[in-house]
Amino acid sequence: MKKKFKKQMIILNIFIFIFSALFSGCFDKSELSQISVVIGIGIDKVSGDEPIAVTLEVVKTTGFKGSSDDSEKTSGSVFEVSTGKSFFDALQNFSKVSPVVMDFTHAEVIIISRELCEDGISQVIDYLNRNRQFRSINWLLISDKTAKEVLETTMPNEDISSEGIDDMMTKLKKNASIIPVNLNNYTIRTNSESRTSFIPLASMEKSQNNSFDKIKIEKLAIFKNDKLVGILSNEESKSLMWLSGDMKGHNIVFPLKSEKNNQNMSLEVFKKSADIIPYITDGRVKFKINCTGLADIREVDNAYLDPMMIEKIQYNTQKTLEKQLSELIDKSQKTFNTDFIGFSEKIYENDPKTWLKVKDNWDSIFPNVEYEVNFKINITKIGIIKDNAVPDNKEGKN
Amino acid sequence: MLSHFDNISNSKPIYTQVLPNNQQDMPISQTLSDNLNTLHSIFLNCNDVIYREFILDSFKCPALLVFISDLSNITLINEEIMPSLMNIKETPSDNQAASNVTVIEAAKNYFIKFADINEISTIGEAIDGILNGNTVFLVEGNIKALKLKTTGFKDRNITEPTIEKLVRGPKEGFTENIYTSISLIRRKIKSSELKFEEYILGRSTQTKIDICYLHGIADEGIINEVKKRIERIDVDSILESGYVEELIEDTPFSLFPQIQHTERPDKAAAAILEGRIAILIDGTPFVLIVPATLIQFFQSSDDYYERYPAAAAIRLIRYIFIMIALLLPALYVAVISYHKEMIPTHLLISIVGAAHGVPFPIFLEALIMEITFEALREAGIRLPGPANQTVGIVGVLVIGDASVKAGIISPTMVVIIAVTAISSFGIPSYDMGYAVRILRFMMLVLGSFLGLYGILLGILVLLIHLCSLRSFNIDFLSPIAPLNLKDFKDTLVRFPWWAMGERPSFTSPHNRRRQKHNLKPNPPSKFDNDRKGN
Repeated sequence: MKKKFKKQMIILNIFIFIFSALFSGCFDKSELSQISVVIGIGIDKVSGDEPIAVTLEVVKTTGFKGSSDDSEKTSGSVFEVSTGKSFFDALQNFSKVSPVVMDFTHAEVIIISRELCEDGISQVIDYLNRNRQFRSINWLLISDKTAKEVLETTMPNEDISSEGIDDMMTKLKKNASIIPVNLNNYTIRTNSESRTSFIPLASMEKSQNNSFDKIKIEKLAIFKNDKLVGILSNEESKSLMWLSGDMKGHNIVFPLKSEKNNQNMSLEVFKKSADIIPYITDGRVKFKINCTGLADIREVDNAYLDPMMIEKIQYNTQKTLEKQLSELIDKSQKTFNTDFIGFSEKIYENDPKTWLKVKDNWDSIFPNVEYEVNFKINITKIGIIKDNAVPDNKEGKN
Repeated sequence: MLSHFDNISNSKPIYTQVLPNNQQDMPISQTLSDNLNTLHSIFLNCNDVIYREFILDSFKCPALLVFISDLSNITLINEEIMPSLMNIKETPSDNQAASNVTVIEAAKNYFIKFADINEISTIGEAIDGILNGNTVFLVEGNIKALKLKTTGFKDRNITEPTIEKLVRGPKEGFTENIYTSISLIRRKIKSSELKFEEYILGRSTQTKIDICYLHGIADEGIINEVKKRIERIDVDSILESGYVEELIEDTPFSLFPQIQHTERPDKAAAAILEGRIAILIDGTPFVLIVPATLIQFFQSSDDYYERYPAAAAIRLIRYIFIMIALLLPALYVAVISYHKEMIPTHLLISIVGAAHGVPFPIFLEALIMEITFEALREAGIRLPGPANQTVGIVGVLVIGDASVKAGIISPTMVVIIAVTAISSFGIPSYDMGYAVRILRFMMLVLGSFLGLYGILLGILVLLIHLCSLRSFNIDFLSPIAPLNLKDFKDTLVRFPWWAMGERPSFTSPHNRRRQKHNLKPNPPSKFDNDRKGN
C-alpha cells in the first residue's frame, strides 16, 4: 500500500513537471522569425500631442534564402517610425505598426535630436538605464538636424548606418579626436557633483556628387542637469580629453612661430597623466592642473631637427597646449558656467566638508575660481628620418 | 564447484536447471550399464553426445568414454586417449600393490598419458564435465570416474579490437573464449600474485566467470564486495558481460555506467595493476573493470602510450568535446530563445537571416534534428557494410542540404547538430556516450523552457547525482570529489610516467608506490662526457 502510494507520488510529480513545462507560457521567449533586431535608435521631438518620435533602424533579414549559390544577400536595414507621449510610449506604439517584436539587445547607437536635448533628456536616459534590453555600452550621439535623418544616411562600405557609426566611435576610442560617450559614461558623469556631462555631436554633410551623405562626428555638446547648454568647438573638444577619459592619442598641429618662415609642425601628443589638484584655504579654492604627456613628431616642414630645435618644439607644444586648455576652462567658467572640467568633483573628493559649504552657491563661485595650467611634454620619437624628407635648399642648414 | 547453489535448494525453482537436485549428487554406480542408462536418460535426444564402449583388455572389464563430439578435441581423443587405454597389455607387474588399486586409479596413475585429469564420483560432476567439453571415462565396478580435459572447439582468432581502436598500442583484443582472455592477461602480468577466482553462473548456461586481481595491491574490501555481489547472482543465463554488470552495479537506475568494460587486454592489465578488479566472462570479449570512476570513462589507452604533452593536450580537448556534446544544442536554443544579447551582433543577424521562413519553433527544430541524427546513427550501426554508405549519403543529402533548401531547417541548426555529433564521437567510452546522448535531450528540454537558468539547474542536478554515485564503495567522482590532489596526476591531464610514482589512492590505499623515486631521465652531465672522452 505504501509502495503504491510512493509510485503514485512519483507519477504525479512527473506530470506536474511535464505540464508546468509544456503548458506554461514563457513570457519573454521569442522565436527568431518573430523578432527584428534593432541596431540603431533615433529620438526626435515633433509637434502635436505625441511629441516623441522614435526611429528604429532594423536589420533586414528577408533577403537570405538558405542556400549558398543564389545568395542575394541584400542585407541592409529598414526604418520604422512611431510616435508617442513619451519614449516608452513611442516604443510601445511599434506594436501598432509592426507585426514583429522589436529586440533592443543589439542596439548600438542611440541618437537624440538637438531639439529634444534642449528640453532635457532625463526621462529617456532613465528608461534606457532601467530597461533590461538596453546595454550601458550603447553609444550616445546628438544630431544636428533630426535623428531620423542621421540614421537614414547611407554610408559607403556599410549597409547598416548604425554599424558604421559604431565602427567610427570604436575607432575614435583608439585614435582620439573626440571623446566617445556611451550610456554608462553619460550616466556616471551626470551623477557626479557637477551634474554635467557631454555627448558627441553627429552632423550631416551633403556630399557633392550626392551618392552618399557624410556623417561627421566632432564637437562635444555640454549638458547640465540633463539639458543641453552649449556646444564646444573642435579644438576645445580635443582639449577636454586632457581632463576626462582615458584617451590616448591627440593630434595637434601648430605653426612654430620662432622661426622666420612659417615652419609647420604636427605632433601627436599622448596623455600620460593629468592631475587636478585643489588648494583650499579658508574656503577659497585654487586649482593647479598638471598634465604630462609624450609626443611624437609626425610632420615637419621647413625645419632641421637638432636637440635645440626639439627642445624648442617641446616648449612650444607645452605653451600651445596650456593656452588651449586655459581657453577651454575659461569657456566653461564664463560662457557656460558649467563645470564639465570636474573642479567640483575634486573638491568633493579632497575636502567633502568644504564642498558641502560651497555646494549651494557653486554656480556663483565657479566662474571666478582661479587655476593654473602646467604642461610637461616629452618628445620621444621623431620617426625614422631626422631631417625634412624634401629639404629646402634656400634655407640651408642652420 | 557448484557449492554456492546449495543454499538456495529450498527456494522455489522457477528456472530451468541442468539437473534436478536429486540427480546432482547421485553417486556413480558400480554397474556400467546403470551409469550408461542414467546418462542416456539425462541426455535424452542429445545427438551430439557420444558413448564409446570398449573392453579394457588387461583388466577384462568393459569401459566407457562419454563426450560431446563438437565440444571436444576429437584428434586428442583419437590419438592420445584411445591408444593409451586400448594398448594396455598387462597390469604393471613391478607394482604388486597395483592389484589392490582400482582400475580407475591405475588408469590415472599409469596408463593415460594426459595432463589435465580429475577423479570424480557423482553423476552431476560427470554431466558438468561432459557439457564443458571434457571426456568422462567410466569403468565397470568402479564408483569413481575420470574426467579428462579435452575441451576444444572452433574459436575466433585474436584480432584487433573493433570498438576501442588505437593509433599506438597493442593490436590484440580479448576473444569470446575465456581461456584465451585469461592467457592474454597472464601474458602481460607475469606474477604469482595475479589471481583468478572462478565462479560458474547461470543455471542453464553454466557460464564461467573469473575475477582477476593482483593480490596485495587490490583492496581486500573491494575484492570481498565483488565476490559477495557475484555470489548472490542466481539467474538462468549469462550471455554477455552486460548481464553481470546490471546485476552487480551500485545504482541501477542511474544513467551513468558505474562499471567499465573493455576489450583490450592492455587496458584490463593496466587497471589490474592500478589495483582494480577485472571480471572475465566466458562467451564475450568484453571484460568488466571495477571499481570505476567518472574520469576513467573519458580516458583512452592512447593517453598512456603517446608522449605525455600530446596526451595531456588531447585529454583536455576531450573534456571540451564532452561539454559540447552535452550542452551545445541546449545552449543554442536557450540563448536564441531568451538571451539574444549574448550573441555577437553580426552573428545574430546572420542567424536571424538564416532562420527566416523556418516553420518550426527553434526547440522543435533542434529536437527534429537530434532525433534524425540519432536515427541515422542507429541505422549506420545496424545496416550491413555496403548499405552503410547509403545512410551517409542520405544523411548528407537529405538532412544537410535538402531540408535547408526546402526551408524546413535553418542552416545554423544543421551546423550546431553537426558539431554536437562530431563531439559526441570524441567520448572514448561507448556507454558513457549513451548517457551523454540521453542527457543532451534533457538539457535541450530544460534549456528551451527555462533558458540558461534551466541548463544551470540541470548541471547542478547532474553534479549532485554524480556526487551521490558510488562504484563498489568508491566515490564515483574521485579524485575530484572528495578532492585528492595526489591523484590528480592522472585526471585532467596525464603526467609523464616518471612522475606518476603512485597508484590511485582510492583503488589501492595500502600499497601505493609503483616505481622508484626520481626516474626522470637526464642527459649525461658535461663532466661525465669529458671523462668518457678522455
